[in-house]
Amino acid sequence: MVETALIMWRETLEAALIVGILLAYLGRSGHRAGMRWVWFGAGAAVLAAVACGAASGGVVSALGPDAQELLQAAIVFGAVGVVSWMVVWMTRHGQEIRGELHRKADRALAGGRLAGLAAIAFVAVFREGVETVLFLWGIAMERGGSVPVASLVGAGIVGALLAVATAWLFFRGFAFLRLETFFRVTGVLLLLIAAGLLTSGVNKLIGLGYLPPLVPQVWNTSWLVRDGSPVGAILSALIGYRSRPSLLEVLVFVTYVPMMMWALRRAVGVEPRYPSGSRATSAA
Amino acid sequence: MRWLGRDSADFPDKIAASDLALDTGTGCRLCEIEMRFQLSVGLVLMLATAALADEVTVALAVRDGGFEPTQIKTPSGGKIRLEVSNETASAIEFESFELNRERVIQPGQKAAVYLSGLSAGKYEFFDDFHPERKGVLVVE
Repeated sequence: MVETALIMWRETLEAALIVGILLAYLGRSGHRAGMRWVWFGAGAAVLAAVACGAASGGVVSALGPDAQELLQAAIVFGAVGVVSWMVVWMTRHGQEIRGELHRKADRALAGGRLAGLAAIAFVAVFREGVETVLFLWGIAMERGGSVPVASLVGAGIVGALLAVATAWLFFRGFAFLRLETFFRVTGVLLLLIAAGLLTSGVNKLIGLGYLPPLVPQVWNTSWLVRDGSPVGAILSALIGYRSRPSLLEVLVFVTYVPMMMWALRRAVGVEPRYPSGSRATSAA
Repeated sequence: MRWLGRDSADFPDKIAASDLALDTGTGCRLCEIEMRFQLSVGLVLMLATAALADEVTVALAVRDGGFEPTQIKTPSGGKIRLEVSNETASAIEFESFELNRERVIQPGQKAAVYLSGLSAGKYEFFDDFHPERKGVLVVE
């Protein structure tokens, strides 16, 4: 039962962290409207995941195992794209907020970006959601165990709620940060999450035989942090931690992160499209 | 990208069989063409057989009682196609921290998990949805 809760905690954590970052960011920058869209995206994803999971005998299975995995990889790469774009946008936007251009920032947020927020929340929750539903569905379908099914499903739901609580605590911990630092930290965190997602997508393609691992195991840090442990799960959700990564995964990670850092630096350097003087205020 | 603008005569497809020191001496145009054709067919066949010979397929079943077999032996180095078939009534997740692989498999389906270049050693795997199901891959 504890094991069931732990599995669910691990499966839900990443989604909870991404949604948590978005909500924390929007909350601190005073965008209540944006928060609604994040909830909307997350809620829609839960429904979609339940629908997909429940229909697993039909729709999903009809795809065949390789196609399912490819679909997962495509969703992951899509998520990386949206999150990357979001981080760059947030960095630029953070300056506008600092420059006391709230109203204009609000207008910018309304211009199609709300749908982007909803999309990120949707992708993050849907990805883990399908797996979670399959897992819980499997438990519910199984009979003959020593522990009653209802309590196992209950334990699973408790695990998911604990993941949400973990994410909440995580961002509560950031509350003391100054607004400027907060935006920078959340930006970097999202970027690292995206890098982790990217490597997990590459890992799927390696497992499918489409990409070569180059070297199957570059290093082994399982003596330090085990993959299945709580710390390993948090690191896995945050930076895509694996104790034994392949060379290709390492290469993808160390290519993506500096590339995005460069994009962020450029975003910071870009003069806002607002009246002059805002830079001077924001620099204070 | 300068080479893109060059004359096509520089491209390898213009290399005559004599350049490869395989000319039989007759020097007839047809012989050259035939030889080149044979060479390329031979090369393709060689690569194909190398790729096939390199790949080892191993079957692994997941049943309610656990993995079947619980221990698999394979030679080191080559490419392994691990065919995991879920023979239970619910979804499973084939997972191995040591192999750095995870794969959700629907009931009744069979999925191929590719592994390559493994060095000798023991690699444990389990079903993440039912952690009591465990097995080990022994690479020799």
